[in-house]
Amino acid sequence: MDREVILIGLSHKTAPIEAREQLAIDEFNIVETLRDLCERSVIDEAVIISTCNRVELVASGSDSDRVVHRVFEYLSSLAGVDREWFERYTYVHRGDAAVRHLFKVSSSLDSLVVGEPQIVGQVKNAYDHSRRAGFTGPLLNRAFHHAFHVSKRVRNETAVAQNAVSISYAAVELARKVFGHLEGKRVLVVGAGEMGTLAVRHLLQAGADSVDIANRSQPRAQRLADDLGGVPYGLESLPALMEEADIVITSTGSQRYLIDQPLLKPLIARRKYRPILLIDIAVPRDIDPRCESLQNVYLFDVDDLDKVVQSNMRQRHAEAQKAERIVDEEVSALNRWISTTEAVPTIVLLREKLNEVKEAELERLVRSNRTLSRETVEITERLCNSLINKILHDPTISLREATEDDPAPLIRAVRSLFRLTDDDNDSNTPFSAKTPEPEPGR
Amino acid sequence: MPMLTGVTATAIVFYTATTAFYVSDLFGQFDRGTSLGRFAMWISVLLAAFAAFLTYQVEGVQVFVDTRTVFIGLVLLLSVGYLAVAKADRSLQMLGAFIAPVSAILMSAFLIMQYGEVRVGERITAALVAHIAFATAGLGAFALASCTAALYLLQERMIRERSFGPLFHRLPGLEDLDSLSLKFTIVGFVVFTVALVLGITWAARIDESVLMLRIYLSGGAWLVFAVVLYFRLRSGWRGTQAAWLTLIGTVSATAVLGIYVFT
Repeated sequence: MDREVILIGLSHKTAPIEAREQLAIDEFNIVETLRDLCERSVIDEAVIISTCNRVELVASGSDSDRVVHRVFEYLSSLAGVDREWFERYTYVHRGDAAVRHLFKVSSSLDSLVVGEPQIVGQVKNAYDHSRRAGFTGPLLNRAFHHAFHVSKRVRNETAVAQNAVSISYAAVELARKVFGHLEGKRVLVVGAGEMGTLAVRHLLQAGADSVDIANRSQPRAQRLADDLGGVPYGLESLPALMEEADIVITSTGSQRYLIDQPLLKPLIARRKYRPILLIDIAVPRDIDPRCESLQNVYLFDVDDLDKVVQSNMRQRHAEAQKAERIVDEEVSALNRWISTTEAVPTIVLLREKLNEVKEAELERLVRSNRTLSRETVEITERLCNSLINKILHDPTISLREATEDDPAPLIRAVRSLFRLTDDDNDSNTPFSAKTPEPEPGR
Repeated sequence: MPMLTGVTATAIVFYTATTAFYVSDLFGQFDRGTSLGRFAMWISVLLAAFAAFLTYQVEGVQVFVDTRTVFIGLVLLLSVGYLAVAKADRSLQMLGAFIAPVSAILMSAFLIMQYGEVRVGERITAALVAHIAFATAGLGAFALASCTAALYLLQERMIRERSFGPLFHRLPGLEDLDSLSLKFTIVGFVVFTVALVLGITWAARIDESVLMLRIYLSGGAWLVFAVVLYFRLRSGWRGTQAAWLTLIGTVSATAVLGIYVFT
């Protein structure tokens, strides 16, 4: 029976956090868990992906029912749960479905926030742990490298990971739409709220030039200024600071408007009509909404930022459909590779058999003709090698091509015709050590 | 003649296809729209250039004397100018959604217009040819400034109305658009000023009242841009008002071209 990929797990889609934490496996215990799981030789290869949103075991084995049984048995004893619990919360995918799921996970299509970038790193770490401990073989090596390649394709060919999906990053996106580039832009943060601080950090990362911090409490302003590399001021400096600022982020606990039309209007001409982006994250609001009617003033409150996030989420989900098509393509590509690999042991055996015949015949020739020179024997051997290569060329191609559909009949026929057996040969499995590990990224 | 008609019609088809590609991408319907649009734009430019060559070489039409060559000159200026801008800053690629239809209309005008040599008798001088050439170039720059201004107004509206859909994401930032529109206006203004001076010099010698009227109208269009530039450079005017004034200026300049062609 051929090996296949089996994926057993639970995620935020199937299990509540209580169930996920029950099965969560600590990074330091992963190797030990893998060792226990693989000790009875039911499971040939295994990788455990354990994050806050999912716990999944990707395994390979010849008998998928026994693999599933072994995993359920082991994990239920580990987590102290019964089979019913498993059936309620977990899913089992085999073959194509398992590979497809792995590809979707690594491409962040199965994530809570579709397109989030952390998951591919987490999958890489999980694979790395298992590989270094020796629990992966050619099949999972190939499947995981392929999964990383799919993730890269999805990221490059779709917009699934583009546009902000957090309130703080939405501020950067709006700033980019007002200013185009943020290089050289001056940011003023009013108040020392957490969200505002986070938004400023994102703006600085995106290229904003300098930060001024205006706060009622001078020590807090100083602390934040030290943290962000800015200059602290009191709230009384607000009008002067706003004359210079390009982006103003407010997040104070004030019960009245700190910025209103009478404050802003005289600044417009003094600023030479330079656009100003006001982002009011405070509730109650710090900026009078009527300010937006002023020329070149762009004002957004927390609801507007949320609208940006919601719109981006919708776009990410639309892009995810395109990504699914890439996943399907790559599942087929991996299947083709697996099918082709199934012929390899037979080809190896066939070549070995012909080589054995060659060696035996050459030995017999030398024994029966002692007068043959060394040079003549070498020429004869070269001739034999050339004949073997030529004879095997077409059958090798036929075997590889036939495996793309249904490999079994032709492989069986060749094995039967040439009386090929797997004895004393480590190439008897479809994914032998002779199958090279794929290059990273492919 | 049939060959020129065929090439021109094909160029129009390609400009129309270019428009469709850009617009479909702009509204999030077709992701590869921009790259295909750029490709189609290149083919359109080559076809327009070939049409210009046929007009000059095969048809024997004098460049910048036959008014049709003004249209094809404008098409080439707009298209090549856009391709240069889009190459320098990829975020401005969506300008193609405006440049391509304008080019398609100008090519159509080139196709359907009758032979329209400037009726100036035997008085075709180097100054006249230079005047028309500079006026065409100036109008091309103003058209580019206007397309950019139109894109600015569209993006401004998206932002003000909190319409954060595909259009919002695909259009460039306001300040980038504003600054590009200003650059095109400055270039257009300088070139148009030279055209105006050459035109006045030539018309003064001819002393025909109808020509002086055209010069006054051109002066009016020039004045609109002079006002735009004065406030933009002196007081830092920018944004919506500057964009609208740029559009008005270009409409005035285009109206002058219309009067030149049809009277």
